Amino acid sequence: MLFKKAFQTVLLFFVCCSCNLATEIKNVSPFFSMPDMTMAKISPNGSSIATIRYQEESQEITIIDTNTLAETVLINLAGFFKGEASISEFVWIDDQHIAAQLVEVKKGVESLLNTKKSSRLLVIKKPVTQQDKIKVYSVRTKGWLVHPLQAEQGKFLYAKSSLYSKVYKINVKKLALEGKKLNKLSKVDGGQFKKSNQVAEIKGYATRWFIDSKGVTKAVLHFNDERKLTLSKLATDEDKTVTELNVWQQEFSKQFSGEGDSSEDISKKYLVPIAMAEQANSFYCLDLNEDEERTVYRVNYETNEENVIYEADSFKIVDLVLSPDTRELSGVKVIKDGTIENVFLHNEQLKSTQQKSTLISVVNESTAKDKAIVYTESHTNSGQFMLKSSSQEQQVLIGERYPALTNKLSSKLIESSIQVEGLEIPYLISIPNNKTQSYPLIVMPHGGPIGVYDNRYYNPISQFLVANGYAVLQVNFRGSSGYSAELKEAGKKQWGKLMLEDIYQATKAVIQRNDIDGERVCSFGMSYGGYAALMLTINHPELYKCAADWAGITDVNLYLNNPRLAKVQEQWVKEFIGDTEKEYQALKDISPVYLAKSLKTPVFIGHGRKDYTVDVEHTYRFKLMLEKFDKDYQWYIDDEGTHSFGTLAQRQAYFEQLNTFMKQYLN
Amino acid sequence: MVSHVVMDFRKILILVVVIGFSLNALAKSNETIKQLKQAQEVPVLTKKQGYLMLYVNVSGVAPSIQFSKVNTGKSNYILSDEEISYGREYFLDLKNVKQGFYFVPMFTGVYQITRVNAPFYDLPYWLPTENKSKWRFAIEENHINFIGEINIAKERGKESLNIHLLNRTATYYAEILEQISLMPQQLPLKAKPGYRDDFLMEHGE
Repeated sequence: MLFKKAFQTVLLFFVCCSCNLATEIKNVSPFFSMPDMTMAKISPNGSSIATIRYQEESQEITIIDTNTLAETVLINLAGFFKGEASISEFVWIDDQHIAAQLVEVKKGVESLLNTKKSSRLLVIKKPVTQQDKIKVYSVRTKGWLVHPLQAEQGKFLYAKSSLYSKVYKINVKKLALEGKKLNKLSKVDGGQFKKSNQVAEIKGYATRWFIDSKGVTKAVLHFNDERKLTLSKLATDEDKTVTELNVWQQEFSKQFSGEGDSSEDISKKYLVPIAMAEQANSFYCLDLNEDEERTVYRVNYETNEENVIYEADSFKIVDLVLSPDTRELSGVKVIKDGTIENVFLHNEQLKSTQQKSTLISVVNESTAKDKAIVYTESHTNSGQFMLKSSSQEQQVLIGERYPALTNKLSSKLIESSIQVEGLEIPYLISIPNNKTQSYPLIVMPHGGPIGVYDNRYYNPISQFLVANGYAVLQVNFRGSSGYSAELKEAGKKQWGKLMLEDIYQATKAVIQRNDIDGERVCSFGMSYGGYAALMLTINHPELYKCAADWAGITDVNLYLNNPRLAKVQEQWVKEFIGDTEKEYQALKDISPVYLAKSLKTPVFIGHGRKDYTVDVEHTYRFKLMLEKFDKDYQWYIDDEGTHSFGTLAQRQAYFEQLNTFMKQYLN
Repeated sequence: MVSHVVMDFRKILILVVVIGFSLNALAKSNETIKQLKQAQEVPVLTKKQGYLMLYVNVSGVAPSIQFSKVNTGKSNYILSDEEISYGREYFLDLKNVKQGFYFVPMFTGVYQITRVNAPFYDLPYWLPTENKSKWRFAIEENHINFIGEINIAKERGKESLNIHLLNRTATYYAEILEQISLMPQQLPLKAKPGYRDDFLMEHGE
């Protein structure tokens, strides 16, 4: 529906032409550095804003006064932990206290139902006067914060799971200061984990509690006696009646072991609730049978009605961000390069009045709703947190994700589409705002490729390339999400076929533009995008004059036989890519390794040796074949590299080499 | 009379113990313990033998693998899971084995790695790999048969083991050729995992 609407109303949608004040920036580092501000939340009375910032790769919590905009650092995590810890959630408990839930960054953080994740809760008391010291309390009992209870000063709800799982009301005043040794007479956490403080209970290990805006426990996701995942509705009557809303028959243990029944039907969704939605018995859910959890569903377990309400562009969703009052989805938390990042969604209420080129999302509001934190992002705005106040017309800038890029990105973004084999294929072109007559073009297919898409917001890679004088084409070829179920479904078993055809046809359409130089076109991508980049230049050397890949799949059968695939993934790749036993030859015929002989253009191939998604063997195989047929190639192996562009230093090293390669063949 | 009965009882007891030990020894003899050898020290192949070559990259206190000869009369080494029936069992101890390439002379045929043992402190962790084609390989006579990298990762969760047999013929290609050059007998290289993989053939070896 969204897809049709978009293309019925605009065929060629010119978006933002950034201001002329933009100054040139070509270096790699500003595009691939650690973000600065990643989250900001306003206090219930609107007097302060708590933010999360990165300082030299360590997170810190700061406080900004909304009147003076003066900022002070509350804590820096580097001073608290020797190991790697990151803030997974932070919230105002009241106007004085901020609670920060920390998780250790290690295996397990990715699992939605992980029962063994290591986490801890800090409660920071904001100083009232300049003389006051910052006080940091901690909850020593293992568990997690489930509700801030902002209406009750200094109190919050905290969950603790074991054979019987319980929710307790905890008073900050009774907690000990973080790091303080308790004497023999002191009770851990002030002895607050007792029956009189208990507000909810369920038999079995609870992984999520669902609590309304007033702090009333409505439902719980837990394991029953048979280790079956169960969603139970909790009544507020005296008997505390528990009603099972849903019981999942699928064995949960395979989530950890990678084992499971190979005959399992993966076309069936395994929708697990992550948060309570607005309507009764409705929940926001993720599908654990999805290749990676990237789609948010709203499910009513009484009526069994389900709707897709959001599709992430690429990264795996691990949690949701909701408006506390309306329970509207305002963002998702994703795993990106091993850390948890917030991705904000376009706010529904603002969507109609704003240009869709800019993402605008209300992060949170004060209780009186006179002040709010608003997050904005566009292709030339790498992300800003603004303070919106009913008393002021202009919004005030609070902080930015990448301040080094402020007013330095200058490009236009054009959104269009093309018909290929009866299907509308959308694409985005980013074009530099210089005075050059025509620009060399880099065609950049996305990875995934099923259920992933390129959006119109900030993309560090395309903006880096644009800053270096290239136009960038991103095609949402069949298989991509974000537009329609039809487009996504059409990608089945089309890896080396119509997916590539979509990109090729879009490229041919784009080079007709006067500002694109059709004689200087190169393809570049990562993972499937890398595969597509290589295949495009192999199939159409007259158009794609060079290609570069990172972590590209070069032998499709080898990828399907990846020993690291779990059973469910094996089933998924069989259905969406192909059956290596029955279709070996057809898959071999679309593998760059076996087509190396016909390669006519120079290629730059790169891979991380610690890539566990696409093994480094793919790049070695292609290299051996390129050597055998005496082809023009450059290559780059990062011994510490994974299935991402890695750390700042790794990204800098790779993109500098990529830029050199592109300059060599496109300028 | 009584002493005679006691004598008989002792004889029976000794007989039972002897039979017991013999049966036990017989049972154990079905599991042949194989020794890893480096390129320079490989024993000469006998008739119908080829070298199993593998790259060992394991961690942990006492890792080992168990594998079995697959009973198959077929010339095609790629089998469906229904066709698997096992013969002789083998045991390969990987304890304190340094990362690198190793060789084992083996009789020709198809083999299935059935179990990888990766104890964790006092916990007897192991990964069952029976019937899985990704854990199968074939040995061809008078060839060096590279089966890949046996990888037991150092990092492990309480509920998961990272144990894999990685198909890495191209990754180690230069090193494999170097290793082969060190062997007393120069033999051609093969890579036959339990699934079809044309790479080495296409590369021209």
